[in-house]
Amino acid sequence: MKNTEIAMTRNRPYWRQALDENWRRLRRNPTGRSGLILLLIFALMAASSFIPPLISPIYNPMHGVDPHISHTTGPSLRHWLGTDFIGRDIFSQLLAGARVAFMVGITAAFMSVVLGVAIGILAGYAGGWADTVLMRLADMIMVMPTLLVVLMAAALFGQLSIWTIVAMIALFRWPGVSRVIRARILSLKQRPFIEAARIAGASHLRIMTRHLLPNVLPLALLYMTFRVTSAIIIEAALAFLGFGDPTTVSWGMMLQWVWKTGHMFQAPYWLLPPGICISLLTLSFYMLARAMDEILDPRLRRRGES
Amino acid sequence: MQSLLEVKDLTVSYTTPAGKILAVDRVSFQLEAGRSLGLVGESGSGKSTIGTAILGLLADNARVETGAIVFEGHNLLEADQETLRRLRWKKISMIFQAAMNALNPIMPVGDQIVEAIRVHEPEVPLTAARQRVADLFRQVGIPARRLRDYPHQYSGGMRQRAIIAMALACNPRVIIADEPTTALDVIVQDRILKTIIRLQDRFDIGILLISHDISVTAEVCHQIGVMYAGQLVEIGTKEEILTTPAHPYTRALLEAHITLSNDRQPAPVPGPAADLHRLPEGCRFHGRCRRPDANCRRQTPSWHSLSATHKVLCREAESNGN
Amino acid sequence: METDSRKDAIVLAGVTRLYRSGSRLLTARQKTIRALDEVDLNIPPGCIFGLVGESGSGKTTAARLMVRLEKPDSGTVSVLGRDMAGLHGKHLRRFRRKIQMIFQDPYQSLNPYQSVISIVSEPLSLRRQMTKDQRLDKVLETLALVGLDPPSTYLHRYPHQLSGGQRQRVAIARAMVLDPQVLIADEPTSMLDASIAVQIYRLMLKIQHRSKVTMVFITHNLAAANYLCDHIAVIYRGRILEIGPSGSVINSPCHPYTQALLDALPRFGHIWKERRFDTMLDEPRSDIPQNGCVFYSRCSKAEYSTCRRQPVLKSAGRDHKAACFLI
Repeated sequence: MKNTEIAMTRNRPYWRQALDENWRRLRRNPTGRSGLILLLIFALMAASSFIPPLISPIYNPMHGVDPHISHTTGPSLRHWLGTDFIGRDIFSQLLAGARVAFMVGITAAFMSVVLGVAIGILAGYAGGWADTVLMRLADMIMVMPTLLVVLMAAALFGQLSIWTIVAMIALFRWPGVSRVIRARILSLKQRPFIEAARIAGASHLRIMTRHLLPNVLPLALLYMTFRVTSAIIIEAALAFLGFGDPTTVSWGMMLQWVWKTGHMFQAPYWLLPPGICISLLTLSFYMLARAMDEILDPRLRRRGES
Repeated sequence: MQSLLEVKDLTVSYTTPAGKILAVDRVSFQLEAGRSLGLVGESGSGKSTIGTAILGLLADNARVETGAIVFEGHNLLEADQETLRRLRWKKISMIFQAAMNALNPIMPVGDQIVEAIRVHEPEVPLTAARQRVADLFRQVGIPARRLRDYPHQYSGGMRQRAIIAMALACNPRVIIADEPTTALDVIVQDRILKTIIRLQDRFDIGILLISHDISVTAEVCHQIGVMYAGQLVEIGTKEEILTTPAHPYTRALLEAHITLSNDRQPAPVPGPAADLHRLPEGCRFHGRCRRPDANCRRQTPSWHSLSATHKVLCREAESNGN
Repeated sequence: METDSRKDAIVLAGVTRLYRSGSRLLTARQKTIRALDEVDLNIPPGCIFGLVGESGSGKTTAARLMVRLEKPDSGTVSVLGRDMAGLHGKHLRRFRRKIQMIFQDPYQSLNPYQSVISIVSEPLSLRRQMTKDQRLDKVLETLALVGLDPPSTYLHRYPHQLSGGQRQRVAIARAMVLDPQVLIADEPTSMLDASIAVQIYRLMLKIQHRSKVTMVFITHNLAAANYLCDHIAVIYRGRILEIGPSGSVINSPCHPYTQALLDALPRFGHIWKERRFDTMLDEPRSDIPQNGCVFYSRCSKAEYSTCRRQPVLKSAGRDHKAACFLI
């Protein structure tokens, strides 16, 4: 066989096989399946959030005011979930909110996990003073209440944009991830295959990226799913308390508008949809993470600390 | 002699993602009191599955397809979980490979065995149980002062001996030892095997010793059974198996053994290990056999007796024997 | 082995390695274990050298020092004429390619997320001068050498798709792909079936025959050491007790510990039908002298008055030395 042909007959990489296998198990797991279905509904909502403004400018979630309405109204054919206090369509706001929730949740979780994994691998592999310094830093950040710190930052610097909020959530939520990753690295780095790589002449960077990283990726993915939930909740809380990005329609922001205009107990059609959406979306990510945990755990335990 | 434990026509299957496999295929043997039988074979030959089937500890994806395991007149395969649970340790006990996992790290070793006795024989008073454990420790060669030590204070060999003491705690009739000395070094292995030999002489216990190393079974056992790809292919007394092996696989195993003598060069068993998912037609060993003939590919071999105690599952024996 | 020590492949000179067990919260005293105690050892090039002892004897520590996974507390470890302690960073990485190692457990020594091609070509990819095609050729050649045939069918498999014996062959291929001058094998068959072990031993003999690599074979089994090695050193509690050509050590063992190791081998295929020496006590002695012979506590022949000092290696035949007062 020619060399080029050999290169062509390549199997799928092991991580792809493992991913496919776990994906199959996730879909068979009842919790995982419910989480996935819920998530799919929200993903559809987020994807279709572009449609209402195309139908008519009055369905723009931020600026589209129905010219015939100047106060909040209940559900109708024209406005399926009614309108808010200046006549904006609640349904299109809900769809836009789904998009924002996904964006905030996934970006913040992704950033915090990337940071946490990088620091966890570095601390666990390097050991010594680097480990001590990084982990003490992690401890310090871990005990700071994220919401309070972001609130104070908002109070100090005025309005925060949605991306600043995302960055701050990421910056405060990595320590938990890095602790778990570091613990795993500590056991992994004792394994002969890491020593074999050292003897083969691999540099530290190569050992960290090529040998350690793939072995902690499933764990990182699991933590990312858990982090999505907390990021969405933090953003919603910030927006509800009035420190959100005023140029973005998020579910938290919608709740804030309900509250600020005094419609808490007058307009259930306005209050309930964003509230229910926040709960269900976080629930779906949580169920997904729990199912992943169940799937990954026995495998981690079997391979684990010997 | 009345047999203590009889395995009759046992077939165990596993359901795996790649399909159903027969890990144990129609295996029969008898174990007598005060005697020991060694089961030898490569990993995947089904030898450990037989041990777990006797103890009623088969994995979730395993299923007994046919056969019977008769102990003291009862078929264990028809017994309910509660009966099996009571039999285990008390009548049929086990010695496993992973000695560390079998001991509770936060409890002194002596207390653990006292506890095991009191769980299975609640009528035994505490002092009597303690006395019994002290006797057992002496018999397996652990100094009595080590009774109060924790597992991590024991060496690997001593832990394995503590496991043997635990297995003997309730005066069982049968002991199943699955690779009891694998991963231990030669001196410790020697000690453990000596202990096992002494115990079977003294207590009239039937021992089923499972090992991949034919020299280990030869050291301890009166009888040796050789397993290949789920089947028992040859069984006989130790002398018969070592001096007049009849199955080509047994001969290959003996030749593959590294020994001290320089005049005999070890030869590896040829060919790849049997794949239970793709078993060949005819004799399962024909692909690795040194002298297969055309019929070995087509015909399933049948048992042939070479003596009252020695039989083999091979066509070659048929042509030579009759 | 009265060879010129400058030419020796590996030289350990007065090597001591201590392990300190971490001070526990409850038992405050800290224990120091001498894994290796003032060990001198010369391993000539181009031979297979056996280091034999039970677990805890220090044999694995010696191996780890030779590839510099650890550093000695005192003494020097020189490999191919270079003091390993003086090598750092890039120089160490470059030098390490000449000294490769095979580990005990092939289930732990291969990265589960790497395919065979990735495992075996990794040491090569760290050498920049090779083109991708050259690398692939080298990988295929090495896989064929270790008996994974046809090599191309193994390239894209993952460790979990291989048997224990095949994994160990991949590990050997990873070690051999760099054409090392020294290969250290730390109990390479202890996790494998007895019938597979022979295949690995034969492979090691074949490799040594072809490449003239200096091999250090670490084992607890004198029969395996006898089969593979030209020279054997028997090590116990960090000290070398007997050293010499294999035939001489096996056929006329001098040290009671070597004799005990031979006695302990199963009778099947043994050169002696019965136990011959009975030098190992079942119950260790309690009157252990300070700085005495390390084997004193378990030796049936020892006498307190003679053995309370530390014996040195003395000649017991041609190239054959033993550290015992009783010879």
